Amino acid sequence: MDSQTVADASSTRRSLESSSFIPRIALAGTPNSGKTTLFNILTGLRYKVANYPGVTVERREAELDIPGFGKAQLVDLPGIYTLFGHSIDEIIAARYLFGEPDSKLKGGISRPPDLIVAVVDASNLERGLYLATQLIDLGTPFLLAVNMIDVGERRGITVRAELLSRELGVPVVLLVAQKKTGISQFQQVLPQLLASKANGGEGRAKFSWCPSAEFRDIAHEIGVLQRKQQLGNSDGRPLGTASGGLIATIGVGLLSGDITPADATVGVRVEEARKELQSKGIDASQFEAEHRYRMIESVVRRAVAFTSEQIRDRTEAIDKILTNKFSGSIIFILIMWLIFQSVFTVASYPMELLDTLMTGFSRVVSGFLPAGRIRSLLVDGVIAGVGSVLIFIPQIAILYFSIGLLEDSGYLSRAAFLMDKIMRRFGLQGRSFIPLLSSFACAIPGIMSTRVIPSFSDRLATILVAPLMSCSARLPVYTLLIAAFVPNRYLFGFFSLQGLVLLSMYLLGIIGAACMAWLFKKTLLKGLPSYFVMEMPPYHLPSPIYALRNVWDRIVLFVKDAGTVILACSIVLWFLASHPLTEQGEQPPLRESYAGTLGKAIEPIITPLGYDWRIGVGILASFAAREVFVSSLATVYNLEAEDGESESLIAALRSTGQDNGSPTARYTVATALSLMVFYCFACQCMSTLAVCRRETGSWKWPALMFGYMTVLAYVLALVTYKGATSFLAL
Amino acid sequence: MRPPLTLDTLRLGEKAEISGISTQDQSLHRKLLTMGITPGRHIEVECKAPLGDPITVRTQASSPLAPKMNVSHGLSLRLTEAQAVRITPRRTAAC
Repeated sequence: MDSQTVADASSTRRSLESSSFIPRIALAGTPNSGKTTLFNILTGLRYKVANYPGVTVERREAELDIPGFGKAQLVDLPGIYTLFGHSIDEIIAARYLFGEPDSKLKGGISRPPDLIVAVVDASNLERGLYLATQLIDLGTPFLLAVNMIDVGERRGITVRAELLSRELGVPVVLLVAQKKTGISQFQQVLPQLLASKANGGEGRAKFSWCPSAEFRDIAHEIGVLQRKQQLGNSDGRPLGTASGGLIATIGVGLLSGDITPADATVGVRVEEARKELQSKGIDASQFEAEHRYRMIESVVRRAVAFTSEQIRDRTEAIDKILTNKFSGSIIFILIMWLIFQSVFTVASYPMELLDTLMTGFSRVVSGFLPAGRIRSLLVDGVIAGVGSVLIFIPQIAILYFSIGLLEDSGYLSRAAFLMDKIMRRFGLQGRSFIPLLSSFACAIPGIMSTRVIPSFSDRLATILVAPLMSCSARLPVYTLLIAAFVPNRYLFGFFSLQGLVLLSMYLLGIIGAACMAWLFKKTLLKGLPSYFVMEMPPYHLPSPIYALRNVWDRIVLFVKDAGTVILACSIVLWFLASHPLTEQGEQPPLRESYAGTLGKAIEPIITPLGYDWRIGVGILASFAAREVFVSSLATVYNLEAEDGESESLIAALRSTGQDNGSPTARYTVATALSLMVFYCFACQCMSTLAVCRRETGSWKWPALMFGYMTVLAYVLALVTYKGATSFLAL
Repeated sequence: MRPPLTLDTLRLGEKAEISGISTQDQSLHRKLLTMGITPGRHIEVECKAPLGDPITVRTQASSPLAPKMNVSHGLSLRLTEAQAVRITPRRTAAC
C-alpha cells in the first residue's frame, strides 16, 4: 500500500476510534480447510458458542483485539462450498453474508460483515477458490488465506501468493494454521483492510468470470427486484448498504434456481429472464458454475507452480489398503470395534467415578440438612437429576473425540464410503453407521454424533431409529428377567438358551431399526433432498487438540440444552415418587405415592401384556433411566435397592401370586418375553428425547419418536404375550 | 443416435469429458456443479467401493495443454448420482 493510502487509513482510524465502531469480520471457508484452527488461534479460549435462532447450526464468535487497529468481532461461519447451496449450513451462511431482511432493524435489513476472510485448502484450491471468488464478487473488503500449504507442497503444489493476489485482485496470505506459520503476516494485513472499509470502500461488481455483460446486467436487475420486494420499498432503490456485487450475486442465485424468489413478482421475472437467456444460448442453471471454474482454471495455471513429476503423497497408497474389499473391510471392523469398546468400556471408569462423586456429595449434603422435604428435594431430586446429566459426559466425550480424530485424519469419509451401499438398503447412508454403532452403548452420544450426516432427512432417519439399538441401560432389565424366567438349559449341548434370548433381543432391535428407517424414508421423509456426494480429503496425522476443542463445545451445548430438560424431568419424577406425604409427614412407600397410584391406574392397559401394577410402576420409573426398573421393583417388594441382582428379587418375582390370593405364579416366561420386547422398543429415556429435540430443533420429532416407539412397543409386546401363551403354552 | 453416456458407465482409470448434468433433483444438480463437475472439465474414475458403489472420481481442468494439475480432493458419489453426469469418453492413452 502506498504512503498516501496508509496516511488516509490512520486518520480514518483515529476518527473511527472515537465513534467506537466495532467492525465484524466473517471467517468463511470450505469444510476441512483449517478455518476452525485459524479461529481458535486468533481467539484463544475467548469465544462463545450458541445456535443461530431456530436452527441447529452453531455460531461461534469472539471479540478480538487487533494490534494496530482496535476491537473487532470475529464470526466463524459454518463450513460451506458455495453461497448458493441448499444445505442448512450454506443457507445460514449466505443469509449472514447477504444481510437478512428484518423489519426490526434500521434500514430493514441486517448489515453484511465489514470484512470477509476466506480460508482455502492449498491442496483443494479449485473448490476453495470457487467459494472464494463468489465471496470476492460481493464487493466487501476481502482477504484470502491459503492454508495447509505444507500439504500442498507434499502434493507438488506451490502457490505463488503475489501472482494469485494479482490475478484475483485481493490480498493473499499463505498459512499453515496448525503450525502457526504466516499468522503474524495475517495479523499485519488485517488493520489495513478494516480501515479501508471505514473509507466506504464498496467494490464495483467484479464478476470477472462472467463472459456475458448481458447476463450480469439481468442478474443485477433481478437482484434489485428481489431486494425491493423483500424490503417493501417502493422507490426502486435497494435499501441498506448492499453493493452492486452483492445484488448481482443474489440475482445469479435466483437465475440458477438456488435462491427462492421473495414473491410471485420476482418469480415471474426470473422465469422470463431465464427464457430470454435461453434464447441467447445461455443455460442459467449452470452458467455461473461453468464459467467460474473456467476462470479458476486459468488463475491456477498462472499463479500455481507444479513439480514436473506429480508427487503423490501417501494418500492414494493408503487408500489402496483401506478401501479395498479385503484389508479395507477388516481394518474397518477393527477400528469400529475399537471405538465401540472405548465408548462402552473405557467410559465406564469415569462414569463410575462420577457416580461415586455424586453419591459422596449427596451424603455430605444430607449430613448438613435436617431430614425433610428440602433435603429430599435437594438430594433425591436436584443432585440425582444433575448426576443423571453429568453421567453422559464421559461417553459423549470419548465418542466425539474418536470421531474428531477420524474426521481430522480423513478416515471418516472412507468409513462412510465403505458402508454406504449396505446402509442404503435400509433407508440410511454410510455416515449413519458410527452413530448407530455408538447407540448400542448409549443413544445420547449416538444421536449427537449424527451431525456428521449433512443431509437432514438421512440425519433424521438415523436419529429416529437410534434408540432401537439396545443400549446398555436395557441390559440390567434383560439380565434380571432372563435370570428369573428363562430356564438355564442348553440347546444341542452348548448353545445357552439364556444367551440366545439375550442375543435375540439385540437382533430384534436391529431389525426393528432397519424396518422403521426404511418405512420413514418411504413415507414421512420422502422427497426431502438426500445426496451422498462427498469429498475424500488427503490423509494426515490427526491433531488431538483439534478433536478436544470439538469435544468441549459439544459438551457445553449438551449441558446447556439437553441438560436443563433432563434436570427438570428428574425433579418431576422425584416429586411423583415421594409424595403425597404420610400423616407423619414422611415419604410414602412407593406403592402409595403418586407414582404408585399411576402404576395402578395404568394396570388395565398393561394387563393384556401380562403385567400388573408393580411392573407398571417399574415402567413409569424407567422414564428417568431404564435401569431404574430394577431398583424400583426392588423397592416395590420392599427390598434394599442394591438387591437388584440378588436371589431375593428373582425369588420374589417368581413367587408373586395372583391378585386373588391364589399361589399360581403371576409372572411367567411369557411375561418376561413380553416385557423384554416392550423394553426393546419403548421410548423410555427422557434424555434421548431431550437430545433429539436439541439435534432436530423442534419438539415434533421427539414427539414422533415417542409416539411410534410406544405404539410399536405395545403392539409387539401384546403379540409376544398372546403368542407365547397361546401357541407356545408358556 | 446413441443415448448419451453417463459417468456411472466409466471404468476404473478411464478419463472422460463432462458434457452436462441432467437430473430432476435440484439439490444434487447444485452439489455436482459446486464440486466442479461442470461442462468442459475432465473427470476420471479413481476407485470403487467393495460392492461397486459408491465410486471415487477426480475432476480436472479442461485444457489438454495443461500439465496434469491435481488441485482437488477426490470426490465420492453413488452410482445413481453419477448417472446424472453426461460424458464423452476420451482415450486412456496420453494425449
